[in-house]
Amino acid sequence: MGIAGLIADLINLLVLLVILAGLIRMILRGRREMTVIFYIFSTASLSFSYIYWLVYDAMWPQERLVFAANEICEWAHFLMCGTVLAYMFKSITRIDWGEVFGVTILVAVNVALWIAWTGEWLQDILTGLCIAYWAYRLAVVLKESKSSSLKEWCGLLAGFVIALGLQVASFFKGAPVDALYLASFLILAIIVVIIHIKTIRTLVRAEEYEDYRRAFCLACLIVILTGSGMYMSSEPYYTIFLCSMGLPYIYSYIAMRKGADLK
Amino acid sequence: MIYAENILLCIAIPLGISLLFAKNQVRRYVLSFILGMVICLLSAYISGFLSIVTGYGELKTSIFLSPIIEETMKVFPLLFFLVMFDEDNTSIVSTSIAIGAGFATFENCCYILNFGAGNLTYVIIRGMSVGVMHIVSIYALSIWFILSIRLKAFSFPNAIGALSLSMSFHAIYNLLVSKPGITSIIGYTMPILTAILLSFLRSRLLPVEEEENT
Repeated sequence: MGIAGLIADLINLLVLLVILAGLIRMILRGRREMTVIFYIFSTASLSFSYIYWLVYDAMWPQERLVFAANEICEWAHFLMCGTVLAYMFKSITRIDWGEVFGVTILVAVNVALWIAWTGEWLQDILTGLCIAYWAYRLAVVLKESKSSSLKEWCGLLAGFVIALGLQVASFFKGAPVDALYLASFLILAIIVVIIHIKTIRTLVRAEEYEDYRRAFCLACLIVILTGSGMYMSSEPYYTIFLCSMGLPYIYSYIAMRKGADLK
Repeated sequence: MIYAENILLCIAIPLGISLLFAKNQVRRYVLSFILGMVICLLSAYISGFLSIVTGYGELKTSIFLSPIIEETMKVFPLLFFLVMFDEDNTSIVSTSIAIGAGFATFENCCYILNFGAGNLTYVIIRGMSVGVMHIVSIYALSIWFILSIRLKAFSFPNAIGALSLSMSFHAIYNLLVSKPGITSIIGYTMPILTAILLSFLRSRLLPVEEEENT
């Protein structure tokens, strides 16, 4: 891990620990809501991931094992974020098979690419399954909460598919790999920046609980897209995505805290 | 070389006989305690098998694989208890604590028989760290399960997520104590600090169900 990655990891961990302290403070001050409690567990698991990774890298710098516990921490985080969304929108009980199909295809392509890059098929499939659960929950609630218009959805999907396509193209013999990686990074980065702006705007203009709930969902979408960008990028693009990983957690914390005040 | 099965029998027989004279909560606690010890033995079998199959060796298996195996094994009886019986929160929590305590006790017994108990300081540190760690991880898991089930938020991904969290906690502990120095000191204090935090939060977490249900 480079020094930039190390600093980014430390900053992200610090952000998560501050958020965790804030969430626990909410509980201690009487805001005993299930979404907050589930989110505490979710944030704790991601903090564990960063802690494990930093300690592991310091203690066993030369060892790269097939199975590391920081991946288990990430699975816990993905599944628990899905649970937070499921509980936040507990009125939605139906299964949307269209969303299931769409999410499965996108995640399957991602997983196939990860396996092609790393060869670690077991944890890539398991990571994919956990992300798929979260992404499915997110897709359903984003649709239900009308967080985005149909046009925005199509744009997001098209951009993401093009970015994936460019990554796939980089596997062909004689392909301009560097240019394809750059193009893929730029497309994903533009999408993520647009959703950052949309989330901040939603948070600033929020007046009701529903608005904060919508902002929380958009923050989750940023995490998934930034995570996908990280997993499919090499240095320096990986570090750029990693550096921005703390921001959506700040948005989600603000959304949860202010939303709890209004509830 | 120790004969773990013989040690288990030696500890479990008097406890088993005491079940004849115990009633209700005490009987359940003792039974769960014995179950925790049996699970510890089974986990050791699986870890030993995987250590040979993967070629990781004893140290790497204990750091990287044991947390996954042990936490998974510990959650089975708890899940069985939750699914089969509709008990109150106190029973579920005390059962989970007994499973964790049984597991930790048997693991410590085997460790002491294997490596000796001459160093009192280390024995106390081990009791306060490994012993507490096994209890804390399953205790946190039981709180999560109680909240999820009572609020009808329990699902397969939810359970797996909670299990992964306890595995992570265990894995970080094992990693920290794997080498002597400042990291091992942090590792040894981690379980007891978490236990204090959890006991402090419990009174504030568990009443949630009454508020959400009203």
